[in-house]
Amino acid sequence: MTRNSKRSMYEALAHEVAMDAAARRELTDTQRAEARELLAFAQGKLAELEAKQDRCKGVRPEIRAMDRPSVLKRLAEIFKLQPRAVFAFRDYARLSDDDLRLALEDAEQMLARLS
Amino acid sequence: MKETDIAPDRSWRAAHDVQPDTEEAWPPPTWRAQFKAQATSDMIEDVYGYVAKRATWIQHQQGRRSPGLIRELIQDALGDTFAGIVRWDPSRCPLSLHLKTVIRSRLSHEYERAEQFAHITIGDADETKLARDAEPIDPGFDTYVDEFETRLRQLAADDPAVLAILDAYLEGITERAKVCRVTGLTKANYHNAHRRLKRLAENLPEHLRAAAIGSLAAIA
Repeated sequence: MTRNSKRSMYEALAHEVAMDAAARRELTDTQRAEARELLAFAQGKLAELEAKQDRCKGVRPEIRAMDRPSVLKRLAEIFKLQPRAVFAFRDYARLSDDDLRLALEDAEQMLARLS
Repeated sequence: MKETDIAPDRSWRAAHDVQPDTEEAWPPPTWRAQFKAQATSDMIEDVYGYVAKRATWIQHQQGRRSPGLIRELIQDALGDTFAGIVRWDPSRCPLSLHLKTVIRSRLSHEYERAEQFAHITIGDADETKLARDAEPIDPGFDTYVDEFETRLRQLAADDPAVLAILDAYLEGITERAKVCRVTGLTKANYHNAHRRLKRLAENLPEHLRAAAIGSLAAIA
């Protein structure tokens, strides 16, 4: 009998016993409290993701899909095309990726209006 | 949406050589809705119960407590699911089963890794890092598993159906239909014997731990 087959047997039994234990829901009060905290963690993470997606709601999918260097490159192109365009904040290297994408969306819309 | 509405967008895309974004931002709204619907107290208690039992076995086999292990395993599974590192497809399996499968896979990987690098010794200077990275959860794991199997066989000595299932497991056969085929057990016999096997196995880690402590005390 190989080592691996014994480990597999042990793992399979550990899994099956744990599945049975899960079905019984026999948690202590402390475990139940920790489970609730983990649920809150999951819900918090989901809320974070939703907030992030909502921030970029008005941004077209192409820009949302762009990585940081591509966004910066495109912004630089727009500045060349419209050097006199007024932007509230030009120090783009210090912006977060999401803020950069929002800025590019604004810039693209401005470019479309001017052309 | 009218054709004229999407024309500027297409030209912008063509002008900048940007590939059409066919994928929605991750996670998509349907996924989020499913997650919200399934992320209930009952679901998390199901997952917690599974991980708590796995953690108990790990602690017995390692011979020490691992504070925070349950939280760590569940948080990692959740985090990787949100990040899309492990994909959950709500149309294919419930969230609780997905999380348990991810955690099972992580734990199994540890055992496989121990097997894969078992030949590497810490004394090998060139491979020290590799060996350290590949260190099994517990260096005495194989001895523990040997003891587990021996004790299980002793407990089931007068139960040929349980021993037959155990032999099938050692052959890597764990699926009910296949176990029935190789052991010749009927579905009903398998069901009862499988339940007896799990009952014997359930408290075995605790007994092994107690026996180990007892023999250490005897030596001292």
